[in-house]
Amino acid sequence: MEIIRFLRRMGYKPDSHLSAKQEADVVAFSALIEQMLLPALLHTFWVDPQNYVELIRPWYGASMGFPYNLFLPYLNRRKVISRLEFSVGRLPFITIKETEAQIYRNARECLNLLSHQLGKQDYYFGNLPSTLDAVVFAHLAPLLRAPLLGRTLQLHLKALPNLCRHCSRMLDCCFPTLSAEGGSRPEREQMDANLQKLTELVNKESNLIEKMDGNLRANSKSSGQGKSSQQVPPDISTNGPTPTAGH
Amino acid sequence: MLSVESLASQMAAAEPWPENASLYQLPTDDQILLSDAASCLAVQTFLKMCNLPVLVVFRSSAESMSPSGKVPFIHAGNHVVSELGPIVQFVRAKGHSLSESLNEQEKAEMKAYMELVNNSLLTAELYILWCDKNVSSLISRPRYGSPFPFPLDTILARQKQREIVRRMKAVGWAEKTREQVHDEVDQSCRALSQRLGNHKYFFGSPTELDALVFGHLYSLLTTDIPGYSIPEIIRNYPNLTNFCKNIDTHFFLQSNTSKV
Repeated sequence: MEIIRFLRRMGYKPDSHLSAKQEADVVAFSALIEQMLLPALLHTFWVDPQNYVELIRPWYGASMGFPYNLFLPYLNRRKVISRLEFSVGRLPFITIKETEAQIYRNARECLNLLSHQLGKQDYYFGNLPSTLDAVVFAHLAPLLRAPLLGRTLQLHLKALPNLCRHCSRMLDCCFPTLSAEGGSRPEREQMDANLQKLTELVNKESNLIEKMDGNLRANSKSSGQGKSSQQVPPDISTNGPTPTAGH
Repeated sequence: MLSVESLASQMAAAEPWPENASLYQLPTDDQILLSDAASCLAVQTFLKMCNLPVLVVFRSSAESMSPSGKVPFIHAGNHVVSELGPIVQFVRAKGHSLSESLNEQEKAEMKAYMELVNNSLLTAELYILWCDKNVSSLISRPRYGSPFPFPLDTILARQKQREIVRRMKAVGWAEKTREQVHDEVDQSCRALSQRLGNHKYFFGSPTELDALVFGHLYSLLTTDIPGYSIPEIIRNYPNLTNFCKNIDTHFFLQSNTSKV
């Protein structure tokens, strides 16, 4: 849900360098993410029983006082489930199992499309970050870095190296403190070699990156920190970027 | 799940496009609603672009006949397929595809713009039809219930409205105001207009994206909804209206197209 609220505040633009067509692409790809990727993200975080019980309920509950943490996570989960019911079809015509399968198939397709679109570039539209980079980052970073237990989608994302690199690049440029903290995590160590090259690039651009709206940092810092400040080093070392993510 | 689908598409590929394929949709004069009209027009345009002959059948019970509960659907040989996405896949399995020549990046863009249309234009249509009290009581409910006898018409229409309102609540549209809906439509029209530029089609030659955009824009342009100024918003983008005119004359030259 944080993701949605975060997105809604994205009415401003660090996009002055984009052409008209690229601006249109930002709108279109944001819609693509909302339609195809968001349902699976919500499912991964809120509906997947393992993730919900072990991870999301404690995290979400930790930010509120005693009586609230007993029922607010539950209410939120119900809201998410009712949203997912309508994401691909409705009940008498499609079973819950088929819905889930379709949601994840859509999400994998969406990740592949995003990866194709990024290609070998640093950011979606050349050398400068845009709203689209922020939107993609906001959706992928929690998925990539949270110590999830039900991890079908996470594994698929890790098999797409350019999206992972894009995430760490955004982390470096927008949240330097967080990315330094994260240095001890095993999954990051695997990317270190790539990162060193990239940080040079990022340094050159840092003055341009200042253009990115201050608001954006404030917003996403609050949502981003909520996630990673509580991360415990998980058992990720045993299964790093496995290319066997279900296609 | 996957194996069943691939089996189905293999079976579909084995047979050519049947001569007597038919497209089922709701009667256009007194029953069909804006959102369904847009989807039906999009599928019709797509099949015309593929040059596939299809017999259009009007049934007031088409919605209950469809495997996914949504119109339109096609009946070709042993297969019944509903909605644009699955129909595009089905037709591709038969060896007809409009997007084959696109590269990976263009395919990603096409998919993104199609989702933009579904995400904003279709949702806006559903919002206007069922969440606006005035429109739903004057237009949507009477038209939706028109083929059914007395108590049933009210019951079914109410049921439909409840379902759509729940859906709008789930995606966060239920509390939107009229101005916000106008804004959403304007934003997506601007994006489509910027992407289209001065071209005749979005990607050089007709694709399913053109069919989908045409279906929705044409239906919105030709429908007058009390209290909303959607046609005016679209007319602010002359290249979009030209695009509609162009496809209309090119693919629907003699036939009179559906209007709500």
